[in-house]
Parts: sequence; structure tokens; C-alpha cells
Amino acid sequence: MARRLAVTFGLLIALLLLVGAGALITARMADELHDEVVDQLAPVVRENHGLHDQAAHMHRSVRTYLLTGDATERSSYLRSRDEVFATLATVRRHSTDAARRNFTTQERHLRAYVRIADQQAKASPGSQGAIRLTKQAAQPFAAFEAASHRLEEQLNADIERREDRADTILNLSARGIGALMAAGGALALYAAVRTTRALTRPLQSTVSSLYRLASGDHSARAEEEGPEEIRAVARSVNALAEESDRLRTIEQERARLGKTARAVGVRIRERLDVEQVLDTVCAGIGEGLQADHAFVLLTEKDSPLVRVARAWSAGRGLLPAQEQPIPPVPLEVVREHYRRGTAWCHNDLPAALAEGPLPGAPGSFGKGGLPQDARAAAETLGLVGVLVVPVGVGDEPLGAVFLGRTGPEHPWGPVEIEIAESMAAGAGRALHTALLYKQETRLVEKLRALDKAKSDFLSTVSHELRTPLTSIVGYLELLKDEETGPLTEPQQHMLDVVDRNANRLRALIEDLLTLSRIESGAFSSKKGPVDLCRLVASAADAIRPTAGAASVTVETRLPSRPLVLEADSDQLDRVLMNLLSNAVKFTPEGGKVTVRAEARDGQAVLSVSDTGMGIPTDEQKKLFQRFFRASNATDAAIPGTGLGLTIVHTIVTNHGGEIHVNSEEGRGTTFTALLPIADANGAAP
Amino acid sequence: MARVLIADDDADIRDLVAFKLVQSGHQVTAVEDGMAALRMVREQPLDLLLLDIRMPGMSGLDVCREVRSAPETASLPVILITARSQEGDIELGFAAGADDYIIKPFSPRELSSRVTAMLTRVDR
Repeated sequence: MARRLAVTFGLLIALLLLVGAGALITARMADELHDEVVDQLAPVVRENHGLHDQAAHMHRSVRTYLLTGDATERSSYLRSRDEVFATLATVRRHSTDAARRNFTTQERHLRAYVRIADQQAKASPGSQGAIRLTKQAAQPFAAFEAASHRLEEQLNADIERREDRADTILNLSARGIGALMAAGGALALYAAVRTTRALTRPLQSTVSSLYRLASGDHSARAEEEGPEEIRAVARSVNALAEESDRLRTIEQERARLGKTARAVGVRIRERLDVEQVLDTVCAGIGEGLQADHAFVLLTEKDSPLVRVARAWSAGRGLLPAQEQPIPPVPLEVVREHYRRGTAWCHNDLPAALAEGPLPGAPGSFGKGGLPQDARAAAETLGLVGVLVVPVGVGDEPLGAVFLGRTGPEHPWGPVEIEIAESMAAGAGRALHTALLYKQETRLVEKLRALDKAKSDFLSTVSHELRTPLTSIVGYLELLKDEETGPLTEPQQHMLDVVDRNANRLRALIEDLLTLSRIESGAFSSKKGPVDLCRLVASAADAIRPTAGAASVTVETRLPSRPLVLEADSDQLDRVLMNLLSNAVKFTPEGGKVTVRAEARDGQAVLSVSDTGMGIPTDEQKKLFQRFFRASNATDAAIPGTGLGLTIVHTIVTNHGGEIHVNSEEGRGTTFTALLPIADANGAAP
Repeated sequence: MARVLIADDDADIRDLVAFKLVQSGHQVTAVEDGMAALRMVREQPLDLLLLDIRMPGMSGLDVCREVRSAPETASLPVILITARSQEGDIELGFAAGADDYIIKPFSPRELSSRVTAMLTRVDR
């Protein structure tokens, strides 16, 4: 196209140059002809005309002289005769070649006349000779005049001819220029039409395709027409459109697969049971990625092999557990694969298997190729494209997801690989969580079983202990009541010892059972509004007989308004009874036990103070530990199980409160319990 | 003189209860399991039953339910002896139709008093 345009424009320029040159040349030619007429022919005509006039004047002068004898006429003749010859020389010099013959004739006749005229001038006027000479002179002069006339005619004809020629040249030139201009115009028009046809239309088509593409019509393509350059532009536009189509297809696939992956991810996350997670992972990923076969391989504890834990096929769904379509894989292969962290994909497995080692495959599979059983399995399943993604959390792999396709027409693409990796990562996390949950569930079940065993054990032990204790206490009572006969003093004393220890044993059993029940939370459902003041008052009343027997006074300091707690009244009563009996037990005769209850800072503050023996400072921390007894108490042989304060502490803690001890050895002890007060609705905060 | 039946698999406790109640002037029959107790209840006239809850074969609760279900023995006073002080057991006992309960280890004096009180109440 560019060549054709260049040629066309070259032609146009050549035409213009030609027209210019032609015009120049013809003008020049016409000018030259004109110059010839003006500079040459016209002066000759004029001079010739002058020559004729001078000759006529000479002729007249000599005839007048002969007639009149006037000497001036003769002089005039001689002067005219000199002028004639001078003019003659000039005319001869200027005469054109064509006129030369007529000029020579004219000159010959003139010279012939002048020879006679010269004799006339010498002749005497009026003489016979003069008359004869005059007659003789008339014939050459007439011949001269005729020749001069002919010369003038010829010169005029020459002038006319030249002018005609100049006219013709100009005429022809104008026509030629006109024709060339017309040709040039036609050429320019042709070029314009050609250019428009060749450039504008294909460009318009390309531009409209671009416009359609830009406005979302992805099927639009530019027509490859017109000159090569425009076709190249159209080809580029089409190539861009194809590339854009390709990228859009990839993007659509990514979006579609991403949606599937998210849906599968949600389904996987909904499962907490390992088996269900495996089912969902295997079927979900297999279906979601349109595999023909999907397997989930799992590592096993202390095993060098990674086995198929779930198998799924497009036609059959999840396969029964006993079916193992692919053999176990060495752990090192899976570990190496997991360490790499990326999927391993091969889209032409049969060809790769024929070559031996599998390039790019992890571990020994990459170096030595698949073992025989794995090759056989791949052949049996007809696998062509395989995609294996490692699954795991942390440093160690949990296994792998294996996806296979049996047809060569659908190889694994980069987007599918990407999505498979993201799904496998989700599967890894879900599997990890499920495994942890399974462990935890097992642990909880174990702990529950242990707890139940403990409760059963305590219950059994208490029953088994109570029955013999019943016999001991019962027969002891019969003996002490002397129903089998009177007792001696030492016997009485010994039975007292047995009685005391039997009671201690009973208290121990009761406390153990109580503690066990409280710790297992058996009473927690019995909470209700409890007025602490009433509880304190009745507990004080209950302990007063024992206190009175030991000469210890019990005082209560209670607010006038009820102090309502959301609590288990039996348990709170036990707290009070344990604290009060301790206080009485460790307080010497004449001592005092004070129970206070008050509301302070939104809490109920319950304190039991005594003026007893106190607790050594370094032992106060251990006071609430089970079976712990203060050294001064054991030294003084004051009975106790070491469980009372543990029970108190457990109950207070179970009620959302706390208990503190403040004690000084030899001066007394104060236990302070802080318990939450029920709000206006009667419910604990 | 009231006729009292004590059923307990522990011979020592049977003897203890029998001794104390005989001392208190009652006529006592002792058996070692629930089946024997039920047989006695059906075979001879009785004024009061003392049943240990935990016995091999048929428990004291089972015996109590059987006694209550038969019209001729439905009004027979029953005291349960339990080694468990949990309220659940006591509630179960009352639900089975027992009139009273006593928790091991118990004082023979207290047992005797309760038996006497129960018999007095029935007489009235």
C-alpha cells in the first residue's frame, strides 16, 4: 500500500514538473518567435520601406533636375543616392535568408537604375540624351519598385508566419497543460479514492471492533482486510482480544473453582469428627475439581507407610473402607512432598511411567520412579493426569490428597492446582482440628470415667466402711450400756477409747463423702435465696450446747435486715458448722467465739473469730489442703479429720466467694468468707 | 409384744439388731436376704419390717415395693436401713413406700426408740 501510494504521489509530482517544464518551454519558443518579428523582421520592413522612399526621392530629384536644370535637385539626388546605398547596406545586413533572393533582385534593379540615373545627373537638362536617358531609366526603376514591393510582401508574410507559429505553439501548450492537469487531477482523485478504500474502511472496521470490545462485546473481532499495515493492526487487535478471552476464561474458572472451594471448605469446617472430615474432604475435593478418582492418604503413628484413608470415584462416590485402589506410599515421599509445600502434577502419566523415574516427583519416586504395585494401580485405574497435594499442619505432614483423571482431554490446569492447594490447606487444618478434638474427647471420656470410678469407689468404700462401723459402734453401745453385765473401770476407759476412735472414723468417712459430693458439683443445682443472718443464728444455736459444755461463749453480731445470698443453704450451713465447731474445739475454757455477718461493698462478709490457740503463721497457707492439720492441734491431741476446712474452702469457692484466715498463735483465729450478694431479683450476679 | 422381721446380709448387724430388740421386749425374726424376707412376710403375721437396702439378689427397696403392692401387707410398717445418707437414696426409699429410715452406723438405742415409736403410732 505504501509503495502504491508513493508511486501515485511520485507520478503526480512528475506530472506537475512536466506541466511546468512544458509551459516554460512553449513560452520560451513563442517569445523567441516574437523577438524575431520585433527585433529582425519589423526593422527590415521599416528600413526597406525607407529604402523605397529614399529611392523614390532620388528618382524624383534627378527627373526634376533634368526637367528644370535645378542644380539643388541634382545635389538632392546625389545626397539621396548616398543614403540609398547606406540603407541598402543596412537592409542587406538585416535581411533574412529567405528574403535574400528578393533583396538581391531589388538591389540589382536599383543598381541598374542608379547607373542610368548617374548618367542623367551628368546629362544636360532638356537634351535629347536627357530625354532618352529618362525613358531608359523608367524601366529599371519600375523593376526596382516591383522588387521592393515583392520583398515587403515577403517580409510581411514572414512576420505573419512567425506570429502564426507562436500562436500555434501557445495553443498547443495550453492544450497540453490542460490535458496534463486533467490527467493529474484524475490521478489525484484516483489516489484519494484508492486511499480511502484501502485505509479508511478497514481502519473503521478495526476501530469499531475495538469499540465493541471495549464496551463488553467479547466476541467482536476486527476484519483482516485492506493493506498489510492495516491487516497487521487488525491482527494485533484480534490477538489482544484472544488473549483477553483466554485471561477471562482463566479468571472465570478461578472464580468458579474458588466458589466451589469455599463451599467445600465450609462443609469441611462444619465437621468435627475425623471420619466425617475425611469423607467430606475426599468427596468434596474430588467432586469440586471434577476428578475421576480422589484419595486421601493419611500418615499413621509409628508407621513408615502412608495409606489410603478414603477413596472416592466419580462414578461410585465414596468407596467402602476395605477397597484400597492405590497401594501405601513411603512416608519419606509424603514428608519430602510436604516439605516442598507445593502440589505435584503430571498430565501424561503413562508416558512418564514408561520412562522410569518421575521427574519432579518427591523423594524416592522422583529418583527411582514408582514401585511396581503403584504402576500397576495407575494402569488399572487408567490414570493420565495426576495431582497430588500434601496435607498437614506444622512441621509434620498428615498425609496427602491424590486426584486423578483418566482422560487426556482434561489436563490439570494452573488454576485447578492453585485451588487444590488451597483446599488441601483447609483440609489440613480441619483434619488437625478434628484429630485434636478426637484426642480431647477421648481425654474427656477418660477423665469422666475416672471421675465416675472415683465416685463409685468412694461410695462403695463408704458403704463398706459404714457396715462394719455399725457393728463396732452398735456392740460398743451395748457394752457401754452394760446390757451384757457391769464393766470395770479400766474396761470402761478402754471402751471410751474405742468409742472415740470409732467416732473419728465415722467423721472421716462423712467428711470424705461430703467433699467428694461437693467437688463433683452434685449440690450445685440446689441454690436458692438464703438469708445468711437466719442461717448464722440457727448455727450458733446448734453449737451452743457443745460450746457450753466446753465453757465457751458464742456471740453473734448480725445486721437488722436480712442478708440474702443465692446459695445452697445446706452447704452454707455446713460451712458455718465446720467453722464454729473448729472455733469451739480450739478455744480453751472461758474463751469466746464471735460470728459476724454484714454487707460490705456489695458482698456478704461472714467472719468467725475465736480466742483460741491460733495457727502457726507458716502453716496458714496449707490450712485448706485436704488432711492438713496444724501442728499445735495435733500436738494437743485435738481430734479432727483435716477435711473440714477443705470442705469450707470448696463450698465458698463454688459459691463464687473467697475465704481468708487471720490468726496469731495463742491469741486466736478469724476466718473471713466473702460471698456475692443476690441482686434485687434474688439471683446471684 | 410385737413381731419384728430384720433382713440384713451382715450377720453381725442382724445379731446386734435382734439382741437389742429382744432386750426391748420384741419378738424378732432375722433373715439374710430379700427373697427370704418376702417369703416370711407372706408366710407369717408381722408387725414391722426392718430392711437393709443393699442386699444380694433382692434389695430392701424391692422388698418394700412388693410388700406395698400386696393388699394384705400394704399397711405393714417398714423401716429401711441404709449406708448411704444421700438424699437420693432416702427419697427412693420413701417412694418405694418406706415409713422411716435409719442410717448406718446407727445407735442400737436409737433404732429401738424408732421401732417403738413406729409401733406406737400404728397402734394408735
